[in-house]
Parts: sequence; structure tokens; C-alpha cells
Amino acid sequence: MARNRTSSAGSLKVGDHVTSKLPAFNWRGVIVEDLGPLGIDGSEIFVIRVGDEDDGRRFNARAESLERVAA
Amino acid sequence: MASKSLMDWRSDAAAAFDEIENAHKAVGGSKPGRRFLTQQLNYAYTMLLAARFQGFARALHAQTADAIALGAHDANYAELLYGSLTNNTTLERNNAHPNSIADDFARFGLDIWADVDRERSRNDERRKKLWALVTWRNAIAHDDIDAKLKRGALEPLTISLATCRGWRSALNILATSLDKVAADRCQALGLSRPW
Repeated sequence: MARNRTSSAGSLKVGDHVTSKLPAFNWRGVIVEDLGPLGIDGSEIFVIRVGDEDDGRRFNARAESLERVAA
Repeated sequence: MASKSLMDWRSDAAAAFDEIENAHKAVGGSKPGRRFLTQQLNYAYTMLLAARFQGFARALHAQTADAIALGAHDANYAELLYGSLTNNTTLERNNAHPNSIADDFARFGLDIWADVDRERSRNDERRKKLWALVTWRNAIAHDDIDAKLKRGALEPLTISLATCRGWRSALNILATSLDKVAADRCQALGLSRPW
């Protein structure tokens, strides 16, 4: 899957299009909520939506595992 | 030690609740209209309690899932696990009534309310107060208090400042018990105690 990576996880925000940095995952989603530094080690946690606004899958991801991609 | 979720509940949420308490004092007195003003404050207090407790429960679930996922043997597995444990949670869509909390924490293999009830006596009564709070919250939010009162669906029949304080006190204790049960669960899964 072509990802058009544009930057690392720094300064991610709600509305950013993101993907996983890990090669085992090829989803592409949108950050819909910033839960703050809720990781056990203080890592920033985001809620990601993959798919439609109504029917899409939503799950949490750590900031350091995310990579911003072009919309 | 407490989770960040519980620390936020005890600081940020408590500060917000105190603002409502201060607003109550500010409209004190016996002038006409005070009763209506304080009723609206009590409704606001109810909404805030329910909203903040939902925030606490969501955050605690996210933190527990993170702690469990970090116990995975590699990064791919950790990400898969974290995504699965937080996938389309009930607490993201629904109020933090006891069933929503039970649904989401069941992903960790927990019968959360059984453990919470064991953790401290009278938590079953506090859980009933959470139900009452969420039922009132919905009646206020959907503007159908009168209809629900006619059906006998609201308990108590009116909300006073004392009612809100009672709910707040119950939530404080439930939050502490939930926090401890979640940490216990991580330990039972062979992980180090996260908080």
C-alpha cells in the first residue's frame, strides 16, 4: 500500500491522516480524538477512525506508533 | 499510587465540581427565583458528574489496555493487542452506566463489578447510585424529566445539592475501587503493577 509518508509522529493533532509505523499494519485513518498523555509511560494516546464516520472502526494508538500521511 | 485517570478525577474533575458548589453559594439567599436557579445548577452538576465519570472510565480503560499491550513480546503484537482492546468501545458511544463499564472491562477478562463489589463493602449500593445518576443525566439531556417521573423511572424524584454530593461521594469511591481492580488485573495477567 502506498502511504505517502509526510512526517514523523511529532505534533500530531485531531484531523491528521495517519498510518502505523509498523510494517505489519496497512490501515490508514484519521485522528478523531486526543486522549492526552494516558500511556503508562506518559505517551500521548489518540483515537483513530478507519473507514466511514458512522460505520468506521475506532481504536486507540500511541503517538510514537503513528506516522502522518497526506490526506 | 494511582493511575493518571484517577489522579485527574481527583484534581481536574474535583475542581470542576467545586466550581458548581461555589456557584451554589453565589446564588445563596431566599430571594424569589433562587429555587429555579439552584435547580438548574443541580441539573448542571448532574450532567458534569456523569460526563466527568465517563471521561474517567474511558481513560482508565485506555490506560489499562496500554499497560496490558505493553506486556506483549514485540511492537507489532503490542499494537495489535492495543487496537483490539480499544476497538469500538462502549464507553465511547454510551454513558458510563454500569453495563458500559462492564462491557469494556470484560475485554480484559474481568467481571469488573464483581471485583469492585469485593474490593469495598457497599460498592453495590454505590453502583445503584451511578445508575440513578445516569438515568437522571439522560432525562435532563433529553428534556423528558416529567415523562420519566410519570413512569416512575427517576429515583430520587428531585435533585438537590445533597443528592449531587451523595453521587459525587459514591463516584469518588467507585473510581478508587475501579482503579485498584484494573491494576490488580494487570498483575494477575503476569505484568508488573502499572500504578
